[in-house]
Amino acid sequence: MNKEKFETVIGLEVHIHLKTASKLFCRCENIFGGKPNSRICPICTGQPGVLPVINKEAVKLAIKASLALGCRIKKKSVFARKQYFYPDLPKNYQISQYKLPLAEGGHVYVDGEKINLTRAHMEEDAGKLKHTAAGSLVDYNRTGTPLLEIVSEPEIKSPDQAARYLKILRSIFRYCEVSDCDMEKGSMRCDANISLRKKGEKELGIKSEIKNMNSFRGVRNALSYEVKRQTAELEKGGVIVQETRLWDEKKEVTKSMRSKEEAHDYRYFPEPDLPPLEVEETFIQSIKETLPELPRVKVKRYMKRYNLSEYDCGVLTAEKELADFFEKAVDGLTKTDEATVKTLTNWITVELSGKLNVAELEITRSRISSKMIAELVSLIEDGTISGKMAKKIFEIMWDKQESPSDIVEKEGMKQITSDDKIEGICKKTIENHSKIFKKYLSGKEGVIGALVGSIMKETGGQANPQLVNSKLRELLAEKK
Amino acid sequence: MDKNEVEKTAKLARLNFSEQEEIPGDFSRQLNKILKYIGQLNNLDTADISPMSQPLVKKLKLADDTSREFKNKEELANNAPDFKDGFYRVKKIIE
Repeated sequence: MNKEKFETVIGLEVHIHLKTASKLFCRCENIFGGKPNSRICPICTGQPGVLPVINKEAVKLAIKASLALGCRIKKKSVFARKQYFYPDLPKNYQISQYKLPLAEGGHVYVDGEKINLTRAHMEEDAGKLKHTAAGSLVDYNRTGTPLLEIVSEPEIKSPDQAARYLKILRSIFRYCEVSDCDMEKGSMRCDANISLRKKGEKELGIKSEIKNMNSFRGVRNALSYEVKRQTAELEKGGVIVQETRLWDEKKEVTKSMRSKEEAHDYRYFPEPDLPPLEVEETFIQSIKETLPELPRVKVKRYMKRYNLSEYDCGVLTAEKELADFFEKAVDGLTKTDEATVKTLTNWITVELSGKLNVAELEITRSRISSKMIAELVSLIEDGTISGKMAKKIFEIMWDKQESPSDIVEKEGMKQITSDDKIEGICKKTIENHSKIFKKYLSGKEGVIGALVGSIMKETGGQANPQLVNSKLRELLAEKK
Repeated sequence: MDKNEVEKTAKLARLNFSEQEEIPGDFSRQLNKILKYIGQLNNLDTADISPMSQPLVKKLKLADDTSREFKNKEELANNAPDFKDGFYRVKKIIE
């Protein structure tokens, strides 16, 4: 009912950690975790009189990520101070970019729908707070690590689409190797602006800003909760209060964060310690050349080359490592016709992915190599083994890490395809099942399935079922 | 800039005035004088001048991305009002 009345409008602000060796404005090491306050210096702890020096690699990665999103890189961008008082920020201001960001525009396709981006800008991260009964403890290891913030236009239409948008961003950034985008470790974070409006209306409704969503599931659940909350409020004739709300993952509710009323008055001004960041076209071009083939382009190539469905290609390309595995496996096939590649795709996306999920392994640590799976598929396609036998062999491959041809050899699992052998087996089966044979003669042709089943059982699945089927029909027809 | 704006700005900047009530008013008068003085710049025609974010002509220097450990962390801890067991400690923040 509600869905008919209102539509959801979501804009996301996504922060990703850039994978540099050192921090953005000082040379402290940039890695996750570690002993608290072990990677700090006068600059990132905001001691008086220190000066920030910007990390060239961070600029490169920020430009690379922005280019991957199709943004326009600005030749001149300006750093600004965003001022607020909170213990995770020892300088009492964060160096960010405000009026002149590094990148503007760009877009991401989510399930075929184009989501436009407003901007992408560089900034430094704040530290981490741990709240205890006695007081709050601050760890400045993360302070000053480089971030890229990507701001979308308010064009996302549902909590589900928001989660998928994030997954696509993660996929793109992992392809480019600019960030790990691990939401649990905080190397990808997300704040959302969400509002409702009457269907068909142009003007945006009053929004709330949701923070503290630490997983894809969290984003989906927090936004779904918010849709329900705002719908209920509007339906009883109330108004939405513009405010920041925190997602409480345990209680599965968003709560108003009243303490930060004045927080939005950041009094930005240009950072006097840093001249504008000016980048030359040749620098941008040299970074552009390092961009890999991105998932969306890969999908199109696979669809065209192998005639696979868009869904299959999406699964294969979601992670760069999986796409690399697939491409290596294709290289290992004896034939690369459409049918064989489709069989390979199914084995990778269904059987192998299933195994990896259960074992909680990444594809790079798969117990079955791309070469092994290509060999298995080649054995199926040339008729050496049946699909059913392949499943047994696959299990052994996973457990013992042996090659499929070795397993076939050892276990004597070759498929019976010789015409003579099949004919012999079929004749014997017809003799041994006179009851079924009589039923067949009385016109119940469906019973042939029972005969096939019996043969498959007897041969331990090694007889080729298609051959058995046609041979039985041939023999039975003769006897009619 | 009236008294209320001075008070709001002071609050945002965590500046505490003494108890004497006339001080925000004093600041208001002084700030207005400064703003008026600087405001003369508004009379200039800047149509052909691109905005400047800072007065230094120097180009931004970029640093190589090699990490270096800062050794004297003890001194950083000593600068803090309360540092114990590896953490900077602050008053409990209620959210």
